[in-house]
Amino acid sequence: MLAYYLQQALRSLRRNPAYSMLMMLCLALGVGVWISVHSTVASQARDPMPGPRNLFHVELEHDSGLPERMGNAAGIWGLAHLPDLLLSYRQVSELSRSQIPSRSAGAFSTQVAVQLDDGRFVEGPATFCFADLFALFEIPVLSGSTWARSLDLDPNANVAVVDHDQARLWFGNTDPIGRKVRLGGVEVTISGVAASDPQRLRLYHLWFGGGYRNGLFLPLGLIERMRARPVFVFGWSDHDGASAALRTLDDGFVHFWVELPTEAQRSAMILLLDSYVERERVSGRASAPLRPTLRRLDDWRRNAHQLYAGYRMVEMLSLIGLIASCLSLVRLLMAKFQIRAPEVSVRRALGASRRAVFLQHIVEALLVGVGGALIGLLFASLEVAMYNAALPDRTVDFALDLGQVASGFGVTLLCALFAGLYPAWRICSIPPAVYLRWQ
Amino acid sequence: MIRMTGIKKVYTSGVLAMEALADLSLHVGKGEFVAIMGPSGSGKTTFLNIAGLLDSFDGGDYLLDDIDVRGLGDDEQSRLRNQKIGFVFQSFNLIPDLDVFDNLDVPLRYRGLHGAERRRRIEHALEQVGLTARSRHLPSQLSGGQQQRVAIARALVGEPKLILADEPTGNLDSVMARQIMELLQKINQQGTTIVMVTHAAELAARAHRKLHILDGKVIDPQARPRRAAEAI
Repeated sequence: MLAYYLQQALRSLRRNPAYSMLMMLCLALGVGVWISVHSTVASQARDPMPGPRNLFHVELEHDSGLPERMGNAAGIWGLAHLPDLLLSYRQVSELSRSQIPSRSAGAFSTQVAVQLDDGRFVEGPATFCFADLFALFEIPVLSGSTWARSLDLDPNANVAVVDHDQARLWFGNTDPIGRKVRLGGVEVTISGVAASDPQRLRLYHLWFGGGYRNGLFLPLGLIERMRARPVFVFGWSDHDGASAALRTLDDGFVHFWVELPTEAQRSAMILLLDSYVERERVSGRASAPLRPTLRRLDDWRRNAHQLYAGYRMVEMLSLIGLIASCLSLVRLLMAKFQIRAPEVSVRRALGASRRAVFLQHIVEALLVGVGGALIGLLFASLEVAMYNAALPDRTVDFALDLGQVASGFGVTLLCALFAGLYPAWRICSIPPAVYLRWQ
Repeated sequence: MIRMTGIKKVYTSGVLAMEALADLSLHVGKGEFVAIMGPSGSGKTTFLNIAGLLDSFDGGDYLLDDIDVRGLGDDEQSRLRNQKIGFVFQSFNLIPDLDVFDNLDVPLRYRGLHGAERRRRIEHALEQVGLTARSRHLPSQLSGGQQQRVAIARALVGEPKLILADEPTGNLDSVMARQIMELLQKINQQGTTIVMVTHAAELAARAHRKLHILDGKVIDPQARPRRAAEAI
């Protein structure tokens, strides 16, 4: 009987192709936007570094007062609570002395003005970090080398690693190794070229004005000499960027990552953090750490991702659009089915039960769903391509994967089913005698 | 075949109630050809709807082929309609975008017959009405008489015990009307019970028996000759 319903549904759709296309487009628009937004958000959430995880993000949750000072800017970027989790430069300096982690890395990204060796001034992103950041996040060094660990916190270090794409932008096709660049009055020599991997970048880099490219990697200690800082660390600017002030500043703006492969290391690290927090409390600092947390990398990634509340808002808006599409389809199906009431009455007279009429119309709604899904997926892939073209600085390539295509198809069919339920119920509930013309 | 006792049907619209059938009782035996006559608004269509299980009734008893239809669910009523009743409408009521073959296929699909059996029955029904050559024509490509023959073939294809016909020749010229009546008589002679509503006395004369409906009741024209005669 299903084959018969399908045959009749196809016949019904062919009877008025323009109206059928309108119904499919109505569904496809809502579905297309929803799938493309959903896949874009999912692309952001995709794990770029799958595998066993021994990496932890060290957080010292405290009340920095920074979100209030940042005002609306924090809310807009969904980063309101991030400064409350990050460590100050002083805390990273102190904790990085511990021998418990196998490896550790502090990291802070910002935007810097760079004078190239040909005299040009350019602006670019910079990540001030430890040399172990490359190993911890598996960032390949394509040529040359990074710096020695002893330079990580050395304000007088004069070395840098450049991102491959950034090197091409600044130096063209010439070899950047050995080239000198100046930042904030400090001259550094490029010692290595790192691979560009914007997806990996998301793991250790959140938006702090550094953009979504690596640019230069520099030893973290250089920020003391270069006066580099996040724009919202007002406390530091009050001290005019003096090195002494930076060392004593409590504002959190540095990520601190530790590698703890064994349970014993993890336990020891927790004990260390507890005692460190206690020491901070006793020292009577104004915004002493309240609660230490060792957060696994994937947990951090999810947490950080959730911070971008804007994504969720757009996702919700696209869902509302999808619901609106469904409701429009309900109206279109109601009108279509109502026009067919006389034919339905004849079928009822010839032996069709209410259930048979209901199923036949549900099959038709599902067929609209299939058409809507195919067009919707086409729309979605076009929209995703559009997003990719419109956002050259994105950290990931947006793409529809097979799972999203399948779930998009399933959701469209569910929408069509939902949209068809009421019209199908209405048409099957009409007593056949009402529309049957005896004369 | 049909045994109705004290059937009542009231249509309500807001606070208004209109009694379409009032204590209607009639009996149609198996194999009979009965003509139902009556003026417009007398309750003939309501009677046909109830007899054909297309509408519910508010009181009384109705036995269709000895089955008490009161209290039957929609599935059972649909099955009874499909297996025991064939409908012939004045306006044919063919599905316009299905060809002749597919129009005849509709009741058989709902009966769940397999393809070969459906084809056999459709070909046989078309042969009975002389339209074998037109099986792939759309209704719009046929004359009125041919369309009514298709409608009769559709009523016959399920081999029902009862055919309910409402003015089956109402939209046809006299030649076509005579052919259709001859066809119905032939079907009746093969054992199918026919209940036909008509205004035409000469068509009613071909039936075994005439019943008159007035004000929602079957009346005996002998007992109330004047009123019945006026009405008819």
